[in-house]
This record gives sequence, C-alpha cells and structure tokens, in this order.
Amino acid sequence: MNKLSRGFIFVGAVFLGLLATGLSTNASADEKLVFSVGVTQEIDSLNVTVGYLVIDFEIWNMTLPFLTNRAADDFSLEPSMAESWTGSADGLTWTYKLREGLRWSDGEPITADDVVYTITRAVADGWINHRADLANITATAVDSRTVQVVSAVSDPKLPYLGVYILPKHVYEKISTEDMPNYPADDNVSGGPFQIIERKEGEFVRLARNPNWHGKKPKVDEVVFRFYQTAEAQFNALRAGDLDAIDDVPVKLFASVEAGEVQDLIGIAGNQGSFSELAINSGCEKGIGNGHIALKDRRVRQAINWAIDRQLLVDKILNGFGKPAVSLISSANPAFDLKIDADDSYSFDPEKAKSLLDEAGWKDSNNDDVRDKDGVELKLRYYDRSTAGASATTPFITGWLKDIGIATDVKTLDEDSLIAEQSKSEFDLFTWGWSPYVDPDNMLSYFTTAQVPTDPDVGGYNDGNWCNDEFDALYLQQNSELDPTKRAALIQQMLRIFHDEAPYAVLYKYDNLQAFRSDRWTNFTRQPANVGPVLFTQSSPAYLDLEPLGGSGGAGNNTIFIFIAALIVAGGALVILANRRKKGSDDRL
Amino acid sequence: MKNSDRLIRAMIWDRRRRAFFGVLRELRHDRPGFIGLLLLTFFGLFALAAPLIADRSALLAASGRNNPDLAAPSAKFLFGTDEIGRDVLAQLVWGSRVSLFIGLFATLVAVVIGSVVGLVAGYAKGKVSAVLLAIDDFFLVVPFLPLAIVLAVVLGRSPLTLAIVIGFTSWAGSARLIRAQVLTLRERAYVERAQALGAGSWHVIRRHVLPGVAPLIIANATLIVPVAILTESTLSFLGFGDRLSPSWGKLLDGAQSSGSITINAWWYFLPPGLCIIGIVLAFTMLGRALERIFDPRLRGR
Repeated sequence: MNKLSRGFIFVGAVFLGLLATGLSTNASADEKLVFSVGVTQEIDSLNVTVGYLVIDFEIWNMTLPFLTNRAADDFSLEPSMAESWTGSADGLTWTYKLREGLRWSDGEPITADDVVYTITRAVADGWINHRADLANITATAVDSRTVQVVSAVSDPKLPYLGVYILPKHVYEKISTEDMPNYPADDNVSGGPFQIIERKEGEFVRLARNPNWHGKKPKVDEVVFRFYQTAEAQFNALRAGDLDAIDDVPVKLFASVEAGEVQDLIGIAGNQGSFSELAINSGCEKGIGNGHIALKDRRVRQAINWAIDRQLLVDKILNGFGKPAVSLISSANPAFDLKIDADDSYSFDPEKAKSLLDEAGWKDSNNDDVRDKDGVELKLRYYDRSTAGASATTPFITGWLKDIGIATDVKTLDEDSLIAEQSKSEFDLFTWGWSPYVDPDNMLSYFTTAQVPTDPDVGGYNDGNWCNDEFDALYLQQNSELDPTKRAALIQQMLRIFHDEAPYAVLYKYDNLQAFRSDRWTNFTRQPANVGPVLFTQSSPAYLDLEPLGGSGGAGNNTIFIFIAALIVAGGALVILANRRKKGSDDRL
Repeated sequence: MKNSDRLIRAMIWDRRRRAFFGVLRELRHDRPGFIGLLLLTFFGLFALAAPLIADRSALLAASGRNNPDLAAPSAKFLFGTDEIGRDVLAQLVWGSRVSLFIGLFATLVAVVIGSVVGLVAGYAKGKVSAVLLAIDDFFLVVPFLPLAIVLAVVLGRSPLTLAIVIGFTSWAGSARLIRAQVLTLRERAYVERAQALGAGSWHVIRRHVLPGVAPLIIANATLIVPVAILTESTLSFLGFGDRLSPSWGKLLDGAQSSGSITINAWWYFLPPGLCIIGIVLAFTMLGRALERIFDPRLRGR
C-alpha cells in the first residue's frame, strides 16, 4: 500500500512537471514571435570588408543601414537613412539629408560622420564589397545631418548609393592590418534587426533593433539555422521546426508545388542567379598556374560548345531555370545578352572538336586525350561541395571526355576553393553568382583590376581573364548617363565575355524556397511577382511578414505536450504496476 | 637431394590442400558460415556479371537524357530510375564492383599493416615493441570516422585512395590480435628448438610463427571487409566519397540529397541498402565461422 501510493506520487509529479513545461513553452511563445530560416550555406565572415557569401549579404541587409534603398516591388530608388537628396546640374555632386534622430542599436547617434568615414576608408583600404560603387566617389560632411558626395566622373548609378554604412565609433578602433581578421562581433546595428547571439556553424539570432527608424517588423526575432543537407532542412520545415527554407531540392520543390505537402507553399523566385564553370584564362598580368591550353580562347569556346545546357536545366533544375550563355550582370533580365541562337553556344560536340583541332590540340598518342607539344589536355576540375553545384560535374566531365579533354576532379568546400581561386591555381571550377540590380558590380568583377595578384587579397575575377577592350567599355558604361547608350555598351561587353569565354555560363536558376503557410503570410517578393522572398537585393521580406493569428505552432505544441504527458504518465503507471507484481512474484 | 626437396614440397602442398578442403568441409556443417559463403558467391557473380546486366554507358550522367526522372520500376528499368533518369540497376551492379574493390583492397592494406606490426611487436622485445604498441594504441583510440574523413578530404576521393585511407585507419585491432597470438607462439617448444638450432629471427617468423597466425589473419581479414565496405558507404553517404564512381554508398547519398527518401522513391535507396546489409552479413557470417573452425576453443559457444 505504501509502495503503491509512492508510485502515484511519482506519476503525479511526472505529469505535473510535463504539464508545466508545456504551459511555459506556450507562455514564452506568446511573448516572442520567432521566424526561423533554414540555410545550407554557412557564414564565411560577417565582416563586410571580407565576406562574400549570399548569407552574409542577407545579414548585412538586416543590420547595416544604407543611405538609399531599393524598393521591394521594382528595385526603384527609395529613401532610407537619407530622407531626401538633391543633385547638381552636371550630375556629379549629390547632397543627402539624413533623417533626424537616427541612432545605432547601442544608442550612439548615426551622423554624417559615419557616412563620410565609411566611404573614405572603403576607398582608401579598397574594401571588396564597396570598391565598385565607390571607385570615383569622395564624400564630405556639411553638417551632422548633411553629406555631400562628389563623383569624379558622371555616374549612372547615382543618386542610389547602396553601400553598407558602418559605425565609425566601432571601426575607427580597428587598424587596416587587423581589418581582414576582424570577426565583426560588435553587433552594433543600424538596420531593422540586430544580432543578439551567434554560434558558429549552428545559428545566428537577430532581434528587432529598437532604434530602427523605418517600418517596425511584426516578428520579434529572426533565426538563421545552418543545416548540412538540404533534405534535412526540408524535413525540419515539414516537421515544423523551421518557418522557411532556401535551397529546396528540386524534386521536393516539385512535390510542394503540386500541393502534396501539407501546410507548405513553395516560391520559385528569379533574381538573375546563375551557375558557371569558371575557366582559368591565364591573364598575363595575374598569377597562378592554369593549363596552357586555356590561354587559347578557342579551347575555352570548345568547352562551351560541348555542354548541353538544356539537359542540365531539365535534369538538374527540373525546369526551374533557363540556359544562359554569357554573364548575367543584373537581377533585371532586361540587361541579359541578346544574341542570335545561331551565334551562341548550343550543344555541338563536333564544333567543339573542330575548334580544338584548329587550336592544335590533337590526340597524337591515341590515349583518347588530346595533346600538343607533349602536353596532355588534362584539366584540374574543382567541384564545389555544395549539392546543387556538384550535380553538374558528372555531366560536364562526361561531355569534356567526349571531345577529348580529360579531367581530374577534386571536391572542395567553399573556403578551400576560394583559396585556390585567390592563387589562380586551378583549371576549371564550378561556382555561381547572384548579381546586383545595377550591372556595374558584376561587370567590374571581370576587369583587369579584379584579377588576383596577391593570394592573401584575392580578387573577384575568377576566370583569371583580362581584356583591354572590356576594361575600356567598363569605364565608358560606368559614366554613361543615357540609359539606352549604357545598355548598348553593356551588350557589347557581354558579347565580348561570350566570345572570349572565361566562363562556361550554364544556366540561370530560380531560388527555390518553401514556407510554413499555416503560420505566416504576406511573403514579400523582390521584385514583385517574380523574385524570391529570402536572400533578395535589400531583404524587405522580414519587415512585412505577418503571423497567422490563433493557429500558431505554440498552441498545437501545448496539445501535443499534453497528450505526451498523458501517455508518459500512463506508461509510468503500467511499469510501476508491473514492477509491483513482479516483486511479489519473486518473493513467492 | 633434389628429389627429397621435391618430396617435401609435395608433402607440404598435400597437407595444405587437405587443410583447405578440411576447412571447406567444416564450413558445410557450419550453417551461418555456409550461408555467408553462398551470399558472397552470389555477390561475386553479380559483380563479375556487370557487363552482361547493364552497359557501362548507362552510368554516364547524360544517359538519362530521354528517361523519366525517379520513375518507379518497370519492364524497361527493373529497379526504376534515379533523379536524373539513370537506370538504378546499372549503378547497382557496377557499384558492387566499386564497393567490393574498396572493401577488399582496404582489407588488404589493413591486414598487411596489421600483420607486420603485430608480428614485429609480438616477436621483438623492448623498445621496438613499445613504440609499435604506442602507435597501435594511438590508432585504436583515435575516433575512426573523423580520421577517415580528414584523410579522405586531404588525400582525394578516388576509389583507390579511399581504400588506402580506410585500410590505413582500420589495422590497429588486428595488430593487437596477431601480437597476442605471436606472444604465445614464440614460447612454444618448437620455436625454442629452432632458435637453439641457430635459426634467425626472420626464419623463425617466416617458417614457424607466420603459419601459426595465418588462420587468425584470414579469419580476422574476413571480418575487416564488412567494416571497410560500411565505412566506404558511410563516407560516400556523408558526401566524402568519390562523386563520380557509382558505389552503393554513393547511391544512398544520391537518394538522400535528391529527397527520394522523403518522396518515397523506395527503388532508389532500398536496393543499395539491402546490398550493403547483405554483403556485410555475408562477410561477417563467414568470418565468424572461420574463427570457429581455426580456433576450436570457440566451438559450441
């Protein structure tokens, strides 16, 4: 009798304990509205002077302020820190008026000084993400709320000035030598959100920045969680552990689109992201040890002719994308290269073979690999370990083999791959880009100035390619104010890029994203109707997200926990009863 | 002189032949061992018959050009197709070669290292033995999978390097086992007698100790193969394998990363999974049976 009552007390305690956990979970969920995003790409650095991955940009968009912003609908110019601006008659000088009472998340005022400091230092230190925008720009503070920006040449991008403004009081303490290694753990924010917790390789937690001047987001926190595989991430979304994910495997996305998965919606957004096979073109002003054959543009063209882009789109993208033959320089498809189908790369192995013959690469020793002057046409092929990128590798290496080019495939993670690229010590590698709205940045990456010359500094020109005509046209478009003339110049540049083939551009792909439609609504796409929701140019979606009232995950959880508590309690009772019985049996 | 040499050699061969058939005979009465042997024969034939079952070109990524993706099994594709429309059966049969090659070659590497270390550490005394044992201890305690992953990433991912990596990380246990056996053998009277007659260490190890530990090495090797195959599958499944060779682990990785498990395309992940279980089971059952045969003390347990 004594034992039995002790059993009941135990069961009761378990029951109450579980119930209490359930209730407290519910209570904390009521207090905070958290939007959890699953991502498969880990942050390389939150330091805006060195980071280069899409995930970094998303977090900068949320935590660092701009003078001006891009509208969600159509990328048009919008006030941000600056509430108004005026231009001089020659278009070279722009005066921005900052909002009143701007503050960093730590309470320090945001002033014209911060803007001038950022621009001046970015130019002086050559910060990689600021370089293209600020190349010709100098800034001065007229007063604490007025900034004057002068461009040395007429600049078609102005008055849009989309560079991340940094807090002077934090960054002035970091020397130029220390800057590349600065982990950016100050967490001082001037954007709608601020980082409050970060566990490397696990998650980044951002909370609303109370000092943000703009629209107040409905969510209290946004958490980015890192997953090793896209499949695991998808299952976490389906199970309700996440609210949104990027990078949904194509076959799973198709099943979401077909409505086969409850409570999820899929959004396929395009903003010009593309994948390519970079070819080491061996710029003589650069460094590195690319294969000698690749210096001949006919060999690079042959690689382009050997690839069946439509098959890649059908099989790897499941149709969520389009073949592409030249650099995609802008999120706006109006800037894409317009080219006759007859002139552009199609799947033509015979043409590829004749180009290689013409370039003098023939199989003289009958080993199925072409050679010239005793050098075999065997290329190092670095395969980026991310799932989507590596899917193309078996296709491309197969096609290259068909035209007599051997490959030595090595799978590398993103950091190791960039290390090889910074030394230009590769022949071929797979990568991808998401362009900005203005074509200027993407185009600048393929000028001679961006060819890596120092492995420690690197450079964005990962085709290790230089072309004087391209450089000259770049400078011309950079100061051409007439949009039609500028577009024509850009077309010329893309045509050169196409013909010179430092890349085999493969396809433009849609960003496949999925969301919990039972918990959230109002998913803002940038640009409207066609763009993605997450990882956009200015990341406006987090400001607009709205929770669906009542049927949130928290309520369901309470019920589940309640049921679980009942089951556990019942189980404990049965076990205890059995143990009692067994005990008495033993005694017999 | 020549004649007597030949006679001795013939006697030795006769004894070996009889020992071999004796093992086979005992295997026939050992049910799990016999089933293991049958299963192994089946997988061996399966791997050998690969060219008869499917053309090698069916492994090329572009071979699925005109096929539906993730199609269920049909008369044309007995095991369905994968996410890019390739025949799963073709990858399964050709994959058996890769998996078996890696399993066997890795075992060879492990057994060679393990035997040499075990023999020397057991026979030699003093510093040599201590150093070898320290190295052995290191490999015993280092977490096996992370070490294999690091080595695979550093050395590259071709099937050959993978086999070497797996072999290099899995010899420590057999070295211990062999050393223990050598320690008991070297105290036997016939070894002492040989030494008294002036035989050098090399002669003693080669003619007296090695034959004594050979059955143990064989039984142990048979038990390393399944571990090596499982490791290869694990590495491939985790994405550290050779992406261009169709091993069974690679098939599982493809099924996982394309989401086939979530959308229940069972024909893609079930066959390689069953094959891995089958071959691991076969080698384990055979290995255990050989252990029982070579070491009568284990019988009846």
